[in-house]
Amino acid sequence: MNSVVIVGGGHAAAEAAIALRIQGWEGDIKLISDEDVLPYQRPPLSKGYFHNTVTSAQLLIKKQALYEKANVDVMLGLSVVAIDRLSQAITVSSGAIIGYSQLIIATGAQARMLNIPGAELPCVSYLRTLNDANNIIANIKNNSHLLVIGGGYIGLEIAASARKLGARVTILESFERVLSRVTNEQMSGFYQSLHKDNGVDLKLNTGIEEIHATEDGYVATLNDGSNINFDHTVVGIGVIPNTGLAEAAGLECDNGIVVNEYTLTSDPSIYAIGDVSNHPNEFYARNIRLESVPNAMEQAKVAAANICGKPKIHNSFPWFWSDQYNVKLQTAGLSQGYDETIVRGDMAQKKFALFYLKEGKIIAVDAINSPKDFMKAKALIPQGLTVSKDKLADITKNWFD
Amino acid sequence: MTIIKYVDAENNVTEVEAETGESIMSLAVNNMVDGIVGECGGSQACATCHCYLDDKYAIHFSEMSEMEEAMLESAPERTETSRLSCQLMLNDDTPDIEVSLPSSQY
Repeated sequence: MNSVVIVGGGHAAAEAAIALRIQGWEGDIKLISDEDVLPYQRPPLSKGYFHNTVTSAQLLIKKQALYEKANVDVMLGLSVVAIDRLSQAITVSSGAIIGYSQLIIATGAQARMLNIPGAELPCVSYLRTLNDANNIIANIKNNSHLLVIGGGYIGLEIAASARKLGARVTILESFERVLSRVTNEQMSGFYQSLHKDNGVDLKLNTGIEEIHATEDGYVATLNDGSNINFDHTVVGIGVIPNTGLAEAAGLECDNGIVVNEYTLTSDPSIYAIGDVSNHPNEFYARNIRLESVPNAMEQAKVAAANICGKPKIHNSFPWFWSDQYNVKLQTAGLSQGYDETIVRGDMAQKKFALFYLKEGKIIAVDAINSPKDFMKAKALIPQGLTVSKDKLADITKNWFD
Repeated sequence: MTIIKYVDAENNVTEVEAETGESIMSLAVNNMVDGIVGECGGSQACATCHCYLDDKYAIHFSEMSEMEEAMLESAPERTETSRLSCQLMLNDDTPDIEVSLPSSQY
């Protein structure tokens, strides 16, 4: 039997389905998604789609006509409940059993849930899906008060978009600064000022202990004992990879499904790609799990090539972007483990690049409205070059030659 | 019928019927034109939809923004006719267009 089954309905799944045909796969391709719509882009959900500059039609990663043309059997509204590795078949929620010659797991991640009294109230939302986004947007009215729990990228983007829609916004961050897992203090400070300047009430070192319904809204009790009234809340406190299916099937998992450089799991017929995969990265010489569209797309192509008998190694360099207000952040690399930072440009002008160095080598950059530095860094960091720190800090000189 | 013609670095040609409201990038992505990637979905963050657009076709599209110019400045295989195809929007008046593609988007 020549049949690839793809479990998941996100970027990795859609890309893999089409990449298989482009690579010459002649057998069946089935894409099984538990959502009821074709795979769509998630990044705009907290940005352009949220504040009405991107339509739902524009969100589609691939159009219906392409799946038809590529003869991909898209099965929507179905979840996969079990993988039988011995007989190479999956069971879906309708009870049907579907065989596979190769299985691609692209189940992504789910939002980490708030675990406090009141977390089950209807005012509490998470943002992962189009339905989530529509629900949040429907609850934002001019001058209504949105409480954002968590000062990570998703929380900050939602805050910026909600301000554009005219909502009052309060962000609660339990640590002493926003983006503390991914940036240094200067970059956190930059984003804190940006949000304050745009009218966001930012409460650092502030946790939430419980939520109650009131007569005309909701009230949150904070860890300093104070109360705050609000109309709706979005929780962005991280994600958990959807490994349940893989774990139950006995695949090796460790913060995601562990795969090798070919995106292959511990089963030679099963691949795992996208946010759910824990994969080796050559530059950082460690295993990483990324929540990233570019990574999902690249791994999808690698898996497709390998399934088509064209061995291909996944070795892409991580990068991310975030749009908030009029500020475009482009990040190349992972800053974890840096021992020095250098700012190039003018933070006050909102146009600069913050370089993270380790033992004299650049390992990552956060570029604010500085696409040229981002593009160069993305291309050059993987080469492991040592650069002149003086040139890096001096905007009148090229730091690359 | 308006045709968008994609010519890759090995001179392989793909002809696609234009659709109003699509960009040259999204049209490529929806028609298995392999030489255009479009990682960021059109938000000018990645420059993986780089194409070459001759001046005689460029007049049918909006001019480059500062952001597009800056993204392209450091893109691989940059030339005078480089554009981000996500910024080349098709409308009812767009005539037949030919774009060529770099050998790699990375």
